[in-house]
Amino acid sequence: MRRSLTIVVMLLVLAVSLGLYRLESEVKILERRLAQATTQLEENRRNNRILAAEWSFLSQPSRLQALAQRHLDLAGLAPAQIGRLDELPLKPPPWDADGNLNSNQNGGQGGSSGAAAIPDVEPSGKPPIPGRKPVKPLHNRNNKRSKDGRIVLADGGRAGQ
Amino acid sequence: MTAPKAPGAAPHLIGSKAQAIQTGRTRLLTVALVFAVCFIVLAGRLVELTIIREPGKTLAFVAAAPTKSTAGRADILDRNGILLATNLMTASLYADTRVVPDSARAAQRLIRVLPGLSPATVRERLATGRAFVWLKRNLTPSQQRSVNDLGIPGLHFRDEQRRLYPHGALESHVLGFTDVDGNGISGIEKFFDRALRDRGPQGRALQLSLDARVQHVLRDEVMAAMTRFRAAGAAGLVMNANNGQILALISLPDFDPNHPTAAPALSRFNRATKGVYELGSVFKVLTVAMALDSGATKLRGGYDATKPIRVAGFSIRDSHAKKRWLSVPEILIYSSNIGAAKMAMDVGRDGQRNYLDRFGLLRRPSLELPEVGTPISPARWGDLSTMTAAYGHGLAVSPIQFASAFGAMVNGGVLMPATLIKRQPGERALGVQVISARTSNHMRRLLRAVVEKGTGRKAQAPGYLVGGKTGTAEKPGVGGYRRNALISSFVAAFPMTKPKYVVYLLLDEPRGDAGTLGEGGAGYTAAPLVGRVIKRIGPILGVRPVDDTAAHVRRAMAMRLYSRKQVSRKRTSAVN
Repeated sequence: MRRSLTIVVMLLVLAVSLGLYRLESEVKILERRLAQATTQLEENRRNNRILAAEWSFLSQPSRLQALAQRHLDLAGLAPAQIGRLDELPLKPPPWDADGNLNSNQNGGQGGSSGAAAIPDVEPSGKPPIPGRKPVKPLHNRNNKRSKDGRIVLADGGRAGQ
Repeated sequence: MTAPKAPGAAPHLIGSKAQAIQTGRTRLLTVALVFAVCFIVLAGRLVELTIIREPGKTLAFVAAAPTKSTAGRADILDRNGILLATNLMTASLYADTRVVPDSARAAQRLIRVLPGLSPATVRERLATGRAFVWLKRNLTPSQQRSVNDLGIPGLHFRDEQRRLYPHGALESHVLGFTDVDGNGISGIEKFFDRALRDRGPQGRALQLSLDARVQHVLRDEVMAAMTRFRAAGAAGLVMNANNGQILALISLPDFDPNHPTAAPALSRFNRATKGVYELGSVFKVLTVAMALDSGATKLRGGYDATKPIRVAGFSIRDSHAKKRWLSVPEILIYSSNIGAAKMAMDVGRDGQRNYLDRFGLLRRPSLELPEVGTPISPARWGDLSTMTAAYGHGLAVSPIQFASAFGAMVNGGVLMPATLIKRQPGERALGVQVISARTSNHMRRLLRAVVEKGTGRKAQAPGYLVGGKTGTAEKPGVGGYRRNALISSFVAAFPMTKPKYVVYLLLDEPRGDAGTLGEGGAGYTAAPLVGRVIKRIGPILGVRPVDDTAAHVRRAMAMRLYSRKQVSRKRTSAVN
């Protein structure tokens, strides 16, 4: 019995030391990875700072102004161009006074009579820009008018949001 | 007792043996117990450290510890978080000259890749035989590579911090600069030198109240005007009228803080905060405000401005002379020196000093810059001083100081100390009520009238309801004032219904051109400049333009002139 106890203890010692060894080597590997990660972190931080400085350098207002003047056909913002969303006039709906739709039910967005009844999307009367999709009108033919005369959007008003 | 004698020793022996074993066992057990307790404690501690406490905590601490790249001076940001000053690690080249084999040849090769170095200095330094000599600080990465490619033994690099200002000269007079060792020499860098150096473990940045976009617009426009009018210098600032925060502050000419010594010393002089000037007619705003506030006169009151005033050998005359009785609004609109001088006499010498002191114009103002000028006030404040101070002569103050006082005239009467540091949301600025809200309301209408009908017409920025006042002052010279050396300035606030921002621009010795009919006065030089600046910064600052012809706007800004084109002497004296 004493011998078996000794054997058990020896096996235990063996197992523990083996486990300890593996644990230690694992810790060493982790430590190395931590050191690598720290170095990487340090390098990334350093690069980050350089990039932040470069970003600030490249986005200097004077540089942006020079670039905008050279490449963009834009002028300064005039007070008349600034407004709130609720100041925009709603386009007249595509119904006539009797509540009948002006458009034929199957009319497309393009040259149909329905689209013609809606005032031009661009008030300046510019020709449509080639290659650009025509803007979908807010008051599409699926919209209905409620009893008190208010417009109920077919999509619950999501289109405008 | 009955036990045999012969083996009598045996039981004793057996007894002692058993006892020894017993003792041994007890000791072993004690030791084992002690060890067990120790191990249980250790195991418990292990469980506590690894499982009970969140393991991320210790790791996060390691990650947050200051490292090489975050150590050093703190960054400086503008109010929107744009980087204005930062520290970068750069390599600096030094030599261990004992190891460099052929110093003359090494110098020659080094100069080929670093053309900025002087050949004589490099040769001299490499020949000293010392273990450490600097060759060039703060190399770019590509320069560092080309030096490495030379393969000269004895050349080494040392990582160094370098202060970098990505916007160059744009914020130069606010930020200031540091020396090569990172000590603040001027501006914010000097004022907050300690704080920037001993920043916390998180590496907190210093956030200024400046807005880089507004700063750029101001500098861009003022630079253009300075070139056009061939001015010697200029200063300008944009300030929040309600909390004193400075959104832009320039002084021209300025310098590149990355190479501060490249510019002449005069470029490093901050005209907006350090320079004190006799600002001229912009002071009439203060004179009218103190006269109305103290009750010395009323809006419908007025003064006879037919003839120049002669006092103590001087004569005070009007540059836009109307040669008639002028009401208080007219005195401001037509910028009458005679009217302002008489008005100041009604306020009285002590009253005027009292008010000017309350407006913060007789003391050095507080600002987060080391370059703050002390105002120069007359040593003996007699009647003449009272009269001249009424229209901004004989008393020299800095533009920043005047802008703060002007802010109080329009914001409801509260003087807010100027600041360059961004206030945290919810942090309340503490001000002092210096004039009544009622007087301030009158001043807003009066200043709007100056721009609508008076000398400040060219400062109009449609939609932004600009109100303001011109100021043209002759610069003092030897034995009097110099007629052709002017300080032309314009002070404005917008929108006048509820002023949000104060703009003050000053041109030093502008010379008129054909477009201004040769006039260098403020109405032709500084006023249109302010109008242009407001047109550009209004949208940036989110000020909603209004229709200035709308009925409710006209009503809010209405100001009767109480003009009397033909006045009998009796009525004049009655009013006076």
